[in-house]
Order: sequence, then C-alpha cells, then structure tokens
Amino acid sequence: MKRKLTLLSLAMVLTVAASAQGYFSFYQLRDLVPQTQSLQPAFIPKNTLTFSLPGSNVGLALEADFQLQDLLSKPDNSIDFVVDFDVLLDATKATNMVNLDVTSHLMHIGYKTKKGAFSLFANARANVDLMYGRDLMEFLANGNGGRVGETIDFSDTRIMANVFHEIGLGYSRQFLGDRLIVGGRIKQITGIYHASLADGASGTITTDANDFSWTIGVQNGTANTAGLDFFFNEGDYPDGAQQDYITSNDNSSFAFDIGAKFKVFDWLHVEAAVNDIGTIEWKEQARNYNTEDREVTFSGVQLRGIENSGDVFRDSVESRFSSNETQRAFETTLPTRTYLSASAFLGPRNRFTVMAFNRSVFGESNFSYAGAYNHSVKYFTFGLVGSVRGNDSEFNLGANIASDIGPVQLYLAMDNALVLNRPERYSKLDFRFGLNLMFGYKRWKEKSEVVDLDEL
Amino acid sequence: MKRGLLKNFLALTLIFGTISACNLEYFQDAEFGDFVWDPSLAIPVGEITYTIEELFEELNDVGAQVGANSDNIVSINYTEALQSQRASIFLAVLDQNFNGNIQAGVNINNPGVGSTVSLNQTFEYDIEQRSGEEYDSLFFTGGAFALDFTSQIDATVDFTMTVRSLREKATGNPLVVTGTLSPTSPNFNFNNTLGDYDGLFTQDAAGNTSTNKIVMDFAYDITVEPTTVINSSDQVGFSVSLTDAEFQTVFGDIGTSALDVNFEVVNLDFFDNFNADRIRFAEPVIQFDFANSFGFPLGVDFRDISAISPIGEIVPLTGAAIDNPTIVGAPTVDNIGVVVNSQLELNSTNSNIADLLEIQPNKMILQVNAESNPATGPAQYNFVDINSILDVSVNIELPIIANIENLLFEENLDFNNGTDLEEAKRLLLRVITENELPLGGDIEIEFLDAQNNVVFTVSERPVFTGAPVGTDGRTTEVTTTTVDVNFQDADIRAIEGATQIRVLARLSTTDAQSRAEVRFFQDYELKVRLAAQADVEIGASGN
Repeated sequence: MKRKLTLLSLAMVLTVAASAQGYFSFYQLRDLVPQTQSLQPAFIPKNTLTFSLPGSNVGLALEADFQLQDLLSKPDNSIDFVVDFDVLLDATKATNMVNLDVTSHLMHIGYKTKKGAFSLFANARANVDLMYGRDLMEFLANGNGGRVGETIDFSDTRIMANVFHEIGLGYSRQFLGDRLIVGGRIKQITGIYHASLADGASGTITTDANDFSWTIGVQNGTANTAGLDFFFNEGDYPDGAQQDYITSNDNSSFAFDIGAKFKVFDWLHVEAAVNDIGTIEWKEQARNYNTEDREVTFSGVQLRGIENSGDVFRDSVESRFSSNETQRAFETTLPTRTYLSASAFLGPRNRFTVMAFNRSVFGESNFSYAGAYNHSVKYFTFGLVGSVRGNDSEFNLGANIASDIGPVQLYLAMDNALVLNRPERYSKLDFRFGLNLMFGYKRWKEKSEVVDLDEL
Repeated sequence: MKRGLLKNFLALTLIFGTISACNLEYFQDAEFGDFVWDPSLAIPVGEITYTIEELFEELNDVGAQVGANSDNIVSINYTEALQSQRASIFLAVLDQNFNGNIQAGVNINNPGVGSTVSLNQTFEYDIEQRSGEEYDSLFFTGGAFALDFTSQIDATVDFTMTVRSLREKATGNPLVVTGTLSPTSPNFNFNNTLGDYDGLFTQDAAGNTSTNKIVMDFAYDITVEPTTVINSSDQVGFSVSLTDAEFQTVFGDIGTSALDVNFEVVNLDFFDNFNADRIRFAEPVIQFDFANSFGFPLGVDFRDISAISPIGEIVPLTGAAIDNPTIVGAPTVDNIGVVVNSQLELNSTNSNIADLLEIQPNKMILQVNAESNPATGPAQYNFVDINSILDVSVNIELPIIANIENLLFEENLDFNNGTDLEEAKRLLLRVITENELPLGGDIEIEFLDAQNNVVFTVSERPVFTGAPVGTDGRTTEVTTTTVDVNFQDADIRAIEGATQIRVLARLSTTDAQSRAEVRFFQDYELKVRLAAQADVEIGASGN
C-alpha cells in the first residue's frame, strides 16, 4: 500500500509541469488493443489473430492552451456566448498551442507469433497545429495601441496542417527471454492536403512612437500548401481528379515508429517509443505563396484626393511587398511523438504507470506527464488516468475501458473523461474508441508471474 | 474474493459515474452572440504636403493667380483689363460741307450772234476738324460724296468740276465731274460713295505743300445765243459734302485729345479672403500694360488712384509716379499694324502703393489720365488706322514678402466620415507638421450639422510654428510641431452627425510683432502628417 501511495504521489508531482498530452489513456490499453501499436510498436497483442473492422476505430483529440470558456465567453449578466479577444488574451501565455489530431484506423490485421507479432495496418490521419505567442493575441485583442514605440513580434506564430494516409507493416520481438521487447513499424506516408508557414517565417510590426508609422518586417514569408488548389480553383480540374489524387499521388515517403519494453523487475516495466519518424515531400499539387524578405515602413497614404480610404490603405501596404506563387516541391517533418513510461504491477490485475509524452512540432519539445492506474476484472479492463496539461496545468481525469467478451472487443479511452461535466472549464476534448475481432485472447500476464498483493 | 468484487464494483462505478456526470448548464439556452473586438489601433493615416502656391490657391477662385516671380518668390497676381480704345470710337471724321459759286462776270443782252464764254476758277477749303487735328490724307472706306449745282444763268452751261483732293482708288486720278446746266434744267446733282476715293490734303490751291486742304477746280463754258441775256452777277452755285465718312487710315496730326482710360473701379475680391490685424506687402507692384497700335504717343498720369477698404477707408496714391506723366509709345508710320507695348509701374520706390494695399482694399479706383501727343512726348507723325487699338490692363503683383499678423482664414470642408466613427469609442488624432514656411498657424475646427449648427469645436491651438529666418531671407530649419487632439466617446457621438468642417486658421509670419517682413520662396513646403489612435469596438455584425 505504501508503494502504491508513493507511485501515485510521484505521478501527481510529474504532472505539475505538463504542457502537452497525447492519448495517455488509450496507451494504457496496451497489449489488449492492437491499435495501441501506433503509440508503442513494442506492444505484442495478447491475441493470436486480430482484425479490426474497417472504419470502426476512430480517435480524436482537440486541445488548446485555453479553456472553452475563454473562447466562448459570456459577458456579465448574459447567457449568450461571445468571442472576446480580451478574454482569450487573459488566457494567453508566452507560447500557446492548439492541436487537432484525428485518426481513423482503416484496417489492422495482427498476428502473434511465439516470440513476437506482425501487423499490417492502414490509417487515415489529420493533424493541425497552431502555435502562437502572446504578441499575436495581444495584437488581435488590443491592437497596437498599447505597444506604441515597441515591436510586436509574430515570429513565434506557426501553423501546420497535414492530411495523409499511411499503410505499413509492424513487427515486434522478444529478446532476453521475455525481458526485452523491441518493435518497429515502417509505413508509407501519402500526403493529401497540407498547409503551413515555411520554417523561419517571421513577421514584426513596429509602431513608431511619434507618428504611429508601421515598420513591417517579413522574413521567409512563404506559405506552402498542397492539394488545396482543388478547392481554390475547383473549376480547373476535371471530375474525379481530386479523388484520383487522394487515392494516389507523388507525395509519398516512408516513416518509422520504433519502441521497446524492458522488464527491469517482474513488477517494474519501462517502455520507450518514438513514432512518426520521417518526412513528407510534397511534390504534387505543391503551391508556394511567397512574399519577399523586406522591411518596409508604412507612413500612411497621400491624403490629397483620397476617396476610398480603406482600399487605398490596403493597396498602399500591399504594393510595398512583392509576392508570387510557385509550385516548388517542399518537405515537411512529421510531428514526432515520444512516449516514456514506467509501470509497476501490483499483482496480475493492477498496474500503476507514470508516463511522459512529447509531441515535437515546430521544433518545440513539450513534455507532459501522467499517472495511471489500471485494473482488470473477468471481462473488462479499465483504468483511470490523471494528467495535467497546458500553460495553466489543467488537470484532466481520464478513463479507459476495454472488453474481452468473446471475439468482439470494444474499447473506449479518454484523457479527459470529465469533459461533459462543465466542458467550458476544459481545454481538451479527446476520445478513442473502436471495435476489433480478437481470436486466441489471453490475459496480459500469467497469474503466476507476478505477486498478487491483494491476496497477500 | 468478495473484497475483490466490491473493489471492482466501486472502481467501475467511479469510472462510469465520472464519465456519465454531465453538466452542460453553460450551454443551456445560450446562443452565439457577436465577436467582441475592441482594440486600440494606432495607425499612420497619411500625409499631405502643401506648397506655398497651394496654400494660396483659393485666391485663384477670385481672379488672382498664384505663381512665382523671377526671384523664385511666390507672388499673387491680379490682372484686370481696364479699357480698350478702338479707332472708330477715338476718331470720327467730321462731316464736311463746302459751298461756292461762280458768277458769269459779263453782261450780254441779245448779242445777235452766238458765241461761247469760258470761265475757270479754283476753290480751296480747310477741312473742318476738332482742335488740333490736321489731316494729310485719309483713305475712305465709306461715306457719301455729294455735289450739287444750281445755275441762274439763262443759257446753257457746260461745266467740269475737278476735285484735286479726292483721287479715285481705281485710277489714281482726281475726281472729275462734268455736266450741263440749262435754263430748262438748271440743277445738277452728283452722288457717289466716298469709299471710291482717297483723300489727299497736302497741297493748297497753288500747289504748295500744305495740310488739311481740299482743292477743287471748276471750269465751264456758257453758250451764248443771239437772243441771250446774261447779267454779270448771274452765277452757278455749287455745294460739296462729305458725310458719314468711314476710313481705313488717317494720316496727319491727330492733335492733343483725351482718351477714355480715365476711370475704373477695380474690385480686388482676393482681399476678401484676407482678414488680418496686419498684412503688409513690402514690394507690391501695380503695372499698367498699354498695348497701343495708334500712330501717336500717349501721355499718362496716375493722379487719381486710391484704395478703398471694406470699411470705407480711402488711401490715395502719392509719390513721384504721379508727379511725372509717363509716356506710352506708339508705332511709327512705317509700322502700321504693329502693337507697341508699354509698361508703367507703380512700386514702393515711386509711390506709396504698399500703404494702399495694407488696408486690404476690396476696391481700387484707377483714374488714369491719358492724352494723345502729350507736350512732353516725342514728336511723331500721326496716323490712325481703323484697326488701331489701345488696350489697357492692370496687373497687381504682390510678391509675398510680407509681414502678416493674425491673418484669419476660414474654409468649409465637406465631412462625410461620420459613419466611420460609429465604432470608435475614443480617438486620439495626432497632427504632426513639418514647416519650412516662415508662417505659423493656430487652428480651430468646428463641426457643423446640416443646419450649420456647431455641434463640436476643437479649440484653437497652435498647429504649426513659423520657421526661423536667416540673414539671406530664407528659413534656416524645418520646425516640427506635434499636436494631439483627444475625442472622448461623447465628443465622437457629437460629431457623428456633422456634415461640414469649418477650419479657422490664424496665421502670423515669423517674428510678426516686430513687423519683420519675410519672404515666401516657391520651394517652401508645409508637410502635415496625420496619425490616429482609436479605441474601437467592433461586433461580428459590424455594430
């Protein structure tokens, strides 16, 4: 019992500095749910043969560094929502992230061997990442009126959106008896849609203290897209062209997931995984919207004879920058996800886990942490996950459950299970659920391999 | 085992209880409202640069032209045509009437035989003129020539009248009229247009050189019958008239006579735009331009020139310019059709013209005396061509070398930006001026509604400061002035409905109180930059 309390305390301490989170709860389903191999390739399903039904495994995670009530706020004595940039600003820290991740497991076939497991899988994935600094939100909320004589720096504003599908093979194998398991997955990535600001893209606005003139600096001002021209210039393409593009195109590359599990003691396992190691080279349908590197000062317009001031202002600013559109191929790095975990088995039915997670995007590493407890009963495995994320160290309580009733497996995992209880107070919505066909299912550990403390 | 089942039950209850706990009160009955965007935007609105000419361009609307003189100093020029004198008005040839008779000179009483009596006589007349005029020649283009004869002689008279002074244009020969008078037909008339003749009046009856003479030779033969009775006093009378004469050119001496350039009231409307405690132009010039194609010189004096202010103050012109009549040149007889331009200038050295303009007159009386062939003018053979003309115009040139103190300037501008202010809750309007001019200004702005009621006033404040002046007369540096005008919410609401802006400017030159006169060079500029910081509140629907 003392060890349980120690582990729980450690888990809570680790979550204090959390700033990002990713499918902690789903991770806890481990060997039971084969789709967890997308998080840890070293997981070896307990079933001999696993099928997932097409389209029946879906995951979504939407998270930000502000709460929903910051985005949809209510003025005093009002029941209606407003989008108030001042409220959003109050919730804004130095660096802020918004992330949307959607994964649909289109197909998964798993086969367990004596020493390991093979898998064949296909997924459709979409993710959108937005990073912005306080300057951007302060500009949106307050304009530049409070920053006269200063420079507003948008250089830490980044955005990247990817839609792609992946088809791959996975293999995991035991070594050192069963103390070490190493797994890896190779997958062919085919990019479909993309939008991002180029690496190093930056912009600044400096407002002169005397005449309020704006000095606007742009560096590496390129926005890259792929596949979006089908929407921007729909009339330029014949019927079916986009469908053909989605099915097969030249935006193809390979990526890897690797992972390992090590049994330090029978009751203590440590795991590490790095997923989505690779890049996408966008060759087809690539578009680059380029603005030359310049620093210009906008001192207003010539007022003599001015009529439509709005148009004149806009034209005056735009005319100082030259821009063009090119179709150069470009390469983007997949956001790499890293999991580190340590699990303590307090008997065959109870497991405590502490975890660290990092999703590396825009060259930023933001580790987050969680503590989890899982328990299995006869037909179910379930658990709770406590995690803290975001700039305000928002605490999320997650839960997971998977069934082992016959060949049909249902599972559901959420990092923020409390989201329906006053969702306005949360900054994260996520779920992962699915349905698999399982054959030859066994419990994750033989009862005799660990000490059941409850029975001591 | 029972303990384990209880634990599992509790755990599952906790999980599902947690998941199923649902509180969506925040979203109950709530609808999506507006975006609330209330930034404070500091923007450079823009700039406008005024040259000196542009600052005074309003004067163009009242007849003045703003330009630069040869010293590159901006100058206000006002030109008005005073008089146009045409030859047909200036010179009217008087109607001429000459009478005479020739007596028979012999007594004949039934001589019994026939004979012929021949007689000759020459007549010389002076052409009737106005004072001092003497014509040498006159090329007629119209008019009437009439010759009437009446005979008292009881016999047939055959006569020949030769008018030496009228030459037929077609032949160059003198006009010759012949006819016969008889007892049964004692009258004879001859009429013709004067346009067929040129008049040459340079010889007298004896053929000596003269002027202004008309000479006629009369010869007749009397046919004497055997029974004819003639008294020596019987006569043939005649009359000659030249009436309604029109001419192409007149040569001779036009004499001394006044031209109608004598009185004009010039409205100086551009001074209506000035209302100053003091505005004194240091080097004003009034230049009279005479364009003369009459063949005689003119003498002009400015004895009666004065300025009248709007309040009735009159300042007469004094100085050397009015003491010495000036001469307007004329083309010589060899240059008929040529226009000789003469300029006569009143300036600060020959008159007190600066004093006249200092009262900011709205009217100026120009009583110019002009006469032909003045005594002090050059001796010149005169002519008047029908196309001769004398045009007189006056050009008032005011180089802006001036001392201006508290010049009030007012201009109304349309204001249609009220709706743009609906979203503004506070506005800071910053006016930054960079001034090269030796002229400073305080500005007051009134916002007027459609009924011309003042709905808001931005009180008078210095907006630009006159630049200091160096020893060479040019300003030595650009003065920069920054003025902030704050509009609070109530102020903005007040001006939302304004339709006009009245700009009231009070302008003074650098060091105006010491009466220093400054020069406004053409290249001076006043740059006005506008910047604004506005607290706005913008809803999703734009309200």
